[in-house]
Amino acid sequence: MPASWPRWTLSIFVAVITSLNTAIPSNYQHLDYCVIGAGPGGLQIAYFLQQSQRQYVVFERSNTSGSFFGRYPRHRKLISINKRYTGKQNKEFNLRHDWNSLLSHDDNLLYKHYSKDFFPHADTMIHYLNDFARIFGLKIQYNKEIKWIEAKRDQKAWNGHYFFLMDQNDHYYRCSVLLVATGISEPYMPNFPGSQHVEGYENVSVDPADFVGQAVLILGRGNAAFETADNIVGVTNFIHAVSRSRIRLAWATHYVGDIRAVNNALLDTYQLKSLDGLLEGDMENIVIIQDNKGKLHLRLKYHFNKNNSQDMSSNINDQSLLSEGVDNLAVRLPYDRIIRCLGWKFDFSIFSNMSKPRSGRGRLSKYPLVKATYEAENLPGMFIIGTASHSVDYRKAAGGFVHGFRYTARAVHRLLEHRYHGVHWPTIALPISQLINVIIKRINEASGIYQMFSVLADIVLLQKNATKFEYLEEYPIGALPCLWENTGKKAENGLFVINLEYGSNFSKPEADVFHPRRSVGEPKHAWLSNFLHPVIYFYRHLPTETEMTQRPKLWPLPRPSHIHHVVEDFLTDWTAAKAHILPLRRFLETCLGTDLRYFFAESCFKFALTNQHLPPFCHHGYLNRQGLLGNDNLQDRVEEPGYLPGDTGSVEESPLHHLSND
Amino acid sequence: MAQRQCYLYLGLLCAAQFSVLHCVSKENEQHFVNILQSGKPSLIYFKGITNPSISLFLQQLEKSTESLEEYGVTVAQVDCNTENVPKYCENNHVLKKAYLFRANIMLRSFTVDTLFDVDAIVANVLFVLLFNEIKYVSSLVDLHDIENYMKGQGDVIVTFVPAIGVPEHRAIMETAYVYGTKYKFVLTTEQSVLKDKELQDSDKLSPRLWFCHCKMVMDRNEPCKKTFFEQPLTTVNIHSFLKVLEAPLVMESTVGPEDVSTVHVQLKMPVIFLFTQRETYDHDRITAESVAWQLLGKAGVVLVPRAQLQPNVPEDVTVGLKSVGEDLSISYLVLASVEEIVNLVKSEGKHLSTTEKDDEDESEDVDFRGVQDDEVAEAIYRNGWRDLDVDLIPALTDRSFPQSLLATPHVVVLFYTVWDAVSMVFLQSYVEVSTRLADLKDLLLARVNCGDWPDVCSTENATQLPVVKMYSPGEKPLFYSGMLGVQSLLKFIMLTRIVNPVHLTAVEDVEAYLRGKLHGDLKTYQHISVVGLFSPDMEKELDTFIKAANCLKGIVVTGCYVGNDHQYLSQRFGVAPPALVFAKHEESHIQGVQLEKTNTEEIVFAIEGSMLETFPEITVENLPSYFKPLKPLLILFIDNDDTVTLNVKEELAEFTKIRSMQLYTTCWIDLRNTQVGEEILQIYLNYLPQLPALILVQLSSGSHVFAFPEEQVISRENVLHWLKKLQSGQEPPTQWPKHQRWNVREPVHQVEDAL
Repeated sequence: MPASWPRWTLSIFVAVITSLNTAIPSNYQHLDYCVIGAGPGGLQIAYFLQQSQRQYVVFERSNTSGSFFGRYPRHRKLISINKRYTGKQNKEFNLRHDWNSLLSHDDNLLYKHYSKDFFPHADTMIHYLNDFARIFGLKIQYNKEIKWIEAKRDQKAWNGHYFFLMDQNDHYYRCSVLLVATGISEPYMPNFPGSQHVEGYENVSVDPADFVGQAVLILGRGNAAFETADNIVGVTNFIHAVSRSRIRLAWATHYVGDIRAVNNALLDTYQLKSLDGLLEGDMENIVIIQDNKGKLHLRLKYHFNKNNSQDMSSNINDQSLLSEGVDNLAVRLPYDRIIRCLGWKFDFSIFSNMSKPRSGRGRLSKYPLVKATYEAENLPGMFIIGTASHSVDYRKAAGGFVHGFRYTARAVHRLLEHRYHGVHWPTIALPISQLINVIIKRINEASGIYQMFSVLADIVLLQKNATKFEYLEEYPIGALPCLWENTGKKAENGLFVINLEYGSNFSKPEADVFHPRRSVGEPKHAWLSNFLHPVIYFYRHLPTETEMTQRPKLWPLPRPSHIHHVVEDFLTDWTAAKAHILPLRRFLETCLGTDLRYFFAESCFKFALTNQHLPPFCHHGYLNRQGLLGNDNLQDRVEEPGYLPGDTGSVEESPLHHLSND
Repeated sequence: MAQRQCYLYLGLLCAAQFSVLHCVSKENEQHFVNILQSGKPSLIYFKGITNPSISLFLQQLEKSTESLEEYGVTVAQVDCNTENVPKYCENNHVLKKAYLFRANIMLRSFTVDTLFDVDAIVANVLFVLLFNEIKYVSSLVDLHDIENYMKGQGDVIVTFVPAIGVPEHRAIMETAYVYGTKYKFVLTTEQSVLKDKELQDSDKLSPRLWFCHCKMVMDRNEPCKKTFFEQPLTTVNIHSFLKVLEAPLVMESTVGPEDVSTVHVQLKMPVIFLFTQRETYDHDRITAESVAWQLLGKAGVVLVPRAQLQPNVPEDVTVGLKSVGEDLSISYLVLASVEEIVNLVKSEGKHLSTTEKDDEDESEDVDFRGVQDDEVAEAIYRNGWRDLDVDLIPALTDRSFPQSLLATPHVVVLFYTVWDAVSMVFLQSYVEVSTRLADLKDLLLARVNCGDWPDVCSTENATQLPVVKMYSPGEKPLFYSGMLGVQSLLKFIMLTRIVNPVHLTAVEDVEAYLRGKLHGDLKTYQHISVVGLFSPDMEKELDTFIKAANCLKGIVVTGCYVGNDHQYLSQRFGVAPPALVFAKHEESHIQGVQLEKTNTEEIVFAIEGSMLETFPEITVENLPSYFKPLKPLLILFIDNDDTVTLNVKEELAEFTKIRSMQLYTTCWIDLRNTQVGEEILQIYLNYLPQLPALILVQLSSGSHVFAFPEEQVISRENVLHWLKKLQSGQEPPTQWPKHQRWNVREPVHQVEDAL
C-alpha cells in the first residue's frame, strides 16, 4: 500500500522526476482518456467511455477490479442495501433502492443477481465488479501502478496541457483527459504522543476470540468504529469509543455515511448502562500512556503538558501523570487495547506540484477540491470520479457511495462528450402539453435525482412562447450558471429546475426525526414537507455565478421567480390527481401564463369555433387530428348536475355559482 | 320564409287551448293566448320532464315573477305533458330553455343554466328588452368609439361585471331601465376593458362602474373625464351616485355651514365646506372645483362666505367637514392643499368601509385552487377509472413485448401511464376497440404501462403519451396519429392491416374496387376508393405512387393497376396512365387526375384533397381537416331534415361551386349529431335563433359574427347579396362576449423564507 511508502523514499523519487521533467519523455503512449483505478467509480466511467467508443485505458495497480473490497470492510459486511423486491417493475425506480449496482444497459448486471443478502458480503462486490469489467470488455490494464502524474503545457492539447503518467515500470502515458478514480484509500493516522500503541482498523484482528475479557478503546465514531465494536461487544469487558464530534446517526441526518442502524449495538449497551460508553474529545489533543503492566491510559494533552512542560518525549511513560488530576475522570480505567478507526483520505502523493489537486479545508481535507462539475479546481481536464469526488456533497447526498457516484460519473461523461466531441447533453423535446406528464414521470421514478438530491437535478428549458420545451436530466445544479458551456443548451426563455429536497429544518444530528408532526399531508402545506420531496424552481433567466454564490444559506439554488413544493408522500408516489398533479399544474400555469388543462375534443371543437387562441392541449392535439373523444359512458357522467362540459369552471363562472347560493 | 314559419308556429300555439297549468302569476284560468296577445313581453318556460336542476330553476322562476312584473314582463310556464305545443315542446325530454316573447314574436331563448337565480333571470330578460339602451362592448376600442360618439351629446355609464347574470348585472340593468334615455349605458365582461384603470389585482374580478362625463367635452381630442363608483353595485347605491352626479359640482351657499342642506346630506355623504371672501373668490372657486372633481361621488363641496361663520370658529380655519356619522356637528380644520382635503375624506371613507367589508370577505373566501377544473381529470375521478377492467388486454413487459411481436402478424400496442387522465380516458376506448376486434386472429391488441416499463417506452420512442403503435410484418412500425376515440382507431387498424396499395390485376378488378366491391369489409371505414393506373414501363411513377400509398397507411387503402389497356382506361375514366381515379361511394361519378412528374407529396396531397368535401357537415371529429383559422367560416346550423332545411342545404351546396365563394369555408352543423353546436350558437348570438340559421364567423378579425337575417329566405341570391353587403362594411358585426376565457389561478402560496 502506498500508505506505508516511506517519506524519504518519496522525496528522493520526486527529485528524480523533477529532473526528468525538464525534458518530456519522448517515449510514451498517447491516450485520450486515462482512468486511474478500477474500483466501482473507475469501472463506471470506463463503461460510459466504452459505450461512446472513446479511446481510454483504466490503470489498476492490483490484479483485480475492486481490490479494496478484498480487505474492506474488515468484517466483510457491506452496508449498502441490496433491496431485491420493491413491488414495482420499473427498473429506474428500483435503482432507488439498489445501492450497489453500477449503471449499464444489461439487466444481468444488477446486484440482486449477485447476492441475496440485504447487506451483502464484500466478496460479492469483487465478483460483481470483475464480471462487470469482463462482460463489457472494459480496457483495464491490471498491475499498473501509477506512481507519478505531471501536467505539461501544450497548445495542441484539448485543455492546453497533457497529463503524463508514469507507472511502476517507468512507462509513460500521455493523456488528454485524466479521470482520477483512486478512491480514498489512505488511512487517516493522526500523530499524538503514544500513537505507536494504537492498532489500526486496517490490520487489527477481526477474531473476537482475541478480545476475550479485554477493555477496549476505539478511536473514531464512524461506521468502521461501530462495526469493529459490534464484532467484539459480546466478549470484551467494556468498550469505550471516543471521537471529536457527537454522534451522527444516519436516520437523523439522512446521510448514508453516518452511523447506520445496522451497526448500533454499542449505542444500546451504552444507553442501557451495560458498561460500554461514548466520549467526546479531539484526536489531536489526546495522549496515550502505557503503564508498567502494559495497560494503556488515555489522557488529554492539556494534563500532559502541565506536568511535563520541560520534555515531552522522554517522559512519555511517566507514571506520576496517571495519578494526577480529577479522580472521577471518565477514562480513568486503563485499556488493554486501543483501536484506531478514523477513516480514510485521498492519496495526494502521486501528483506533482503542478498537477496536484488542492485539498479541501476542515473536515473536507481528506478530499481533493473539485468544482460542481467534478473537475479539479486548479487543473482543467482532470476530473475526480468515484468516492473521492464526495467533497461536493459530503454529509449531504450519496456522492461518496456507489449509488450516488454512478450518476455523477454519468454526468461527467455527458460533459466530456459535449466539451470534447460536440455531442450535446441528451434531451427530449416535447410540446408544452406534455410537461406535466414528464415531470410526474421523473419525480416518481428517476433514481439519479433521488440519490443525488440537491446535487443533480433535472432541467426544463422552455422554448419561445412556451409552446415547447426540452428536458435535460441529472445536471449538476452547482454548475447551473455554466449550463450552455457544459451542455450546449441555452435557457433564453426561462427554465424549471426539478430537485428533490428534505425539509431544511428536519435533517440534522440530534434532531428528533420521529416527532409526531414530522410530516404534512395537505398540498397547501407542501412547503413544510420534511421528508424527501420534489421542489420545482422557476427562473426567467439562468442564474448567474454571482446569484449562485450569494444564494440564501442552506439553499441549493438562488431565489427563483416562483417555487413549488410537491407535498411529501409516505409512499414517494406523487401521482395523485388532486394532491400532486393539480397543484403542480397550477404552479406551471402561473409560471408559463398558459392553460395546461386537458380537454375533450368537444370542448376543443367549441374553442376552435369561438376563440382565436386555443389552449395548448387543443392546439397540439385536437387541431392535429388527435383530439380526445370521450365515449358515451363518459358523456353521461360529465353531464351530471354541477358539472357541464362547457363550463369548465373558469374563474368568471365560479364566483358566480357561489354568489347565487347566497 | 323563416319568419313565416315563426308565425305559423305561433298560430298553432294560439289555436291550441292552452291551460297554463301552473301560471306563475297564479291566474290559472287566464289563457296563454291572452298573455301573448297582451303585447307585453313574457318569459315562458315549456315544461317537459323535471329533474332536480329544473325544479330548482322553476323555484327561481317563481321567485322572479314579482320583480319582472314591475318591468311589465309576465312569467308563465306551459306543461308540455298536457299541451304539446309544436316546436317548443318537441322532444319530450328535459327542456333546457326558456323563451322570451314580445307580442307574438320570440325574442330570445335562454338556456336554463343561464337563469340560475332571480338576479340572473331579471338581468338576462332586461338585457334583451333594453337592447337599445345598454350596449355590450368587448374591447377598449369599442368603448372608445362609443365615448367619442357621445362627446358633446351625453354622458356614458360603463359597467364591468365578471359574468352575465350576477346581482351587479341585474342592478345595472334595473338602473338602465330607469335612466336608459338619459345616459348611454355600456356593459362588458372583458377584463381587458379595465386595463388602463389602474386597479389592484384583487379588484380585477370585482364589478366596476364608472361615469364618463362626455357631454361636457367639446373638443373631440379631449378624453371624457371619468368618475369611479366605489361602492357595492346595488340599484340603490347606483341611484344615489347618479343623483349626486346630477347635483351641481360646487354648491355656493349664502348661509352658514350648519344650515346648508345638499343632496349629499340627504344621502348621508360627507360634505366639505370651503370658506371664501370676495377678494379671493375666483381662486377659491377654482380650488373648490378641483376638490369637488376629486371627491365626486364621495363627498359634496360647498363654498361658504367666511362672513357666515359663527363667531366661535377660529379665524385661521380653511375647511369645514360634516362627517357621515350621527353627529351632525362640523369640524373645522386648517388644511393648506387640495390633497390634504381629499385625503381627509378618503381616510374617513376607508375607516367606514373596513368594518362593512369584513363579513363579505369571509363569504367570498373560497379556495378555488383545490377545485379540479380539468374536465378530463374530473371525468376520470368521477368514473374511478383507475379500477377499469383492462385485464382483457395483455400488458406487455420488457420480455413479452418482443415475443408478442413475433407471435402475431399485426400487433397494436398502446403506451400509457396510469396517472395521466388522457391515457386513462383513451384506455377506455382502447378496451372497446379490442373487444370489437377480438375475432381477428391475425391481430393482437396489447398495452405497455410506461410507469412500469419506461425502458420499453423509450426504446419504442413513445415519449408523448398516450400513443398507439402498430407493428406489421416486414414493415416499419406505424404511429397512430388520429383522434383518440373508438371509430378512428378502428378505422386505422382495419386499414393498416391491408397491404397498401392493393395490386389489381384486371380492369374488372379496378371497376369493382372503385365501386367498393373488392375488400367489402373496408366499406365502413372509407367512403372513397382511389386507384393508381400505370403501364408496365412506368416504373418511376409507380414507385412514387407506392411511396405515397405508404404515407397514407391507416388513412386510405389505395388500389394500383399496371397494364397495357390505355385506350380502354382513357375511354372509361377519361384519363390515361399514369393517373389517379377516385370514386366516392355515395356518388356514381368517377373522377380522374393525370399524374405527370408528380412527386410523392403531391400525390398524397391530391388523395387527401379528394377525401374532403366542398360543403361538408362539420363534426367534432372532422373539424381539424377543414379548419383554416384565417378563412371566414360560413356555417349553416340545422336540426332536422324538413323540406326547408333540405332546400337550404341544396342552395348552399350549389353556392359553394361559385368561384368567389372559395374565400369562405362553407359547411353545416347538424345539432342532432353535434350537440355542442347549440352552445356555440348561443355564444355567437347570445340567443338561439330559428333553425336553419346561417352564420358568418371571422375568428381572425377578433371574433366577428354576422347572422343572416332571420326574416329572409336562405337562397343563393340572398346569401350572395348579404355577403356583398358585409364585405362593403354596411352591416356592423357583433362580437360575442368570451365566456371561456382562461385565467391563471395563483398556486398555493409558497412561503419561500420558510426554507
